[in-house]
Amino acid sequence: MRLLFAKILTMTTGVLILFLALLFAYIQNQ
Amino acid sequence: MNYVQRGFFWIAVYLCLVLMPLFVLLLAPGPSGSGLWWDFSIALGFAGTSMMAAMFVLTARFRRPSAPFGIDLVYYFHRWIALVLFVFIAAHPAILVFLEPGLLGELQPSVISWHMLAGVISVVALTLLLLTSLWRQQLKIHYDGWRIWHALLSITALLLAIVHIEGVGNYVSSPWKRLLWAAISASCLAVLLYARLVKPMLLLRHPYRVQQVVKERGRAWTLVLRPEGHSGFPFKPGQFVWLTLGNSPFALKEHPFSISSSAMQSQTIELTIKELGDFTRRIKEVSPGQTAYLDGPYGAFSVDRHPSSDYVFIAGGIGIAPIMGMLRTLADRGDGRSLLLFYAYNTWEDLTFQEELENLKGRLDLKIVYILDNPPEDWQGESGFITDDLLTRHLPSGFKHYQYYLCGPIVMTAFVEKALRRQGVPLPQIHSELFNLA
Repeated sequence: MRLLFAKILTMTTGVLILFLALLFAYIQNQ
Repeated sequence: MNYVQRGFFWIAVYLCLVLMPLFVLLLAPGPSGSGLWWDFSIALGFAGTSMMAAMFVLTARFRRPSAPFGIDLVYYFHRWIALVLFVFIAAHPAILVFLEPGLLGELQPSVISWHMLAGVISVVALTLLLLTSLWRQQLKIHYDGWRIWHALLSITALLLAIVHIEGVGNYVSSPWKRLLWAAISASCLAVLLYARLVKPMLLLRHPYRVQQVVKERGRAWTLVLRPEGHSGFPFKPGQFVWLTLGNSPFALKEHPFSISSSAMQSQTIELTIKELGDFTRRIKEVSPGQTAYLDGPYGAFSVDRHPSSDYVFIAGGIGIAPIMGMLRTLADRGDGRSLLLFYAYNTWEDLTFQEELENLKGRLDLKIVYILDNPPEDWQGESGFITDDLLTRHLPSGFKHYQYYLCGPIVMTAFVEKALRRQGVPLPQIHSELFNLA
């Protein structure tokens, strides 16, 4: 369960940062 | 706040640490946009660098933020998020070169600027970090040496990435934005100083002395350690410590081991260690009187954390060590709750703590199921793997309400965890200790 939790946390964090990096680029180019 | 709320709080703190620098850079005055994908690649570079900085905090073993998860889980997160940050950092130049192939010309040795060189060396250091961490054993790199190189490469990668950011000057044109990255560098150095200087100094003031080295069954040894000039520290049964033996605590030569002694007798601490690697094979050569340092306690693997009327422990090999700590503690407390232990080992002869476990049956409401890989000819008990059938045969009715503690080889714990899930045990009631932190 704990390994699964760490994996989910890693993937969620990665995807969130990726999304926010895109948002950063989008805001910058408005 | 309970453990779950505290966990969410610290995850939010981590995300703020990683993402805050990115959005501060958006504040005016800033450069105009250079195209969506161009700015996306720059954002990945910034995010990757702040993730690198956050790594120093993740691995500094701060007790409060790691408590809701258990520090073993924090280390696993550190390993996996490192892969994510590597992809971000590698994608940063890759996207830029894809959009503007002429940039490659700026990397020629004859014309390369110092800040571009810093960026390139940072990526090389990060790549080396990743390769030596993923394939340390295959590359036959000694653990102690690897730790020193790991620290040096990570400092190099981060500082040169910040030099690159400051040198390129994109998004950091105003003095206070430059100050932000200078503050990030300073914070990382402060964390590093705390972890590598302040903490070892505190350990130096709280030494331990090896009182005894006890030979156990199954090529295992128990180190009995007594605090020297201080009263030790309280711990929860099942927790672990980082042990430094025969070196100063500044030497970066420490190894994590579970406490196998009772939490009710903190005047001595016992660590039961199986001969498995370079360091553990030398444990038998330790002589009484030797100085040791313990950094701890750490870990969330404890019966004290999940109150229940019944507990099931599942141990494989030396995974019995933290479970032994819990059983001894429960026995010292005169605990009358129902306990069931599944203990898998290679042979009966090598079964660590064989005699004491049998004695504990007299002090606890404890039932033990031994599972042997190579049972003797007259063996009447279980053998082979811990399967669904085996669990069904031995788990009493009401087992879906028990708390389960698994410790052993990671393949075994993953397999048993799935088997328990198939039997209908809720995931939050299954707890495992993730060994192999190296």
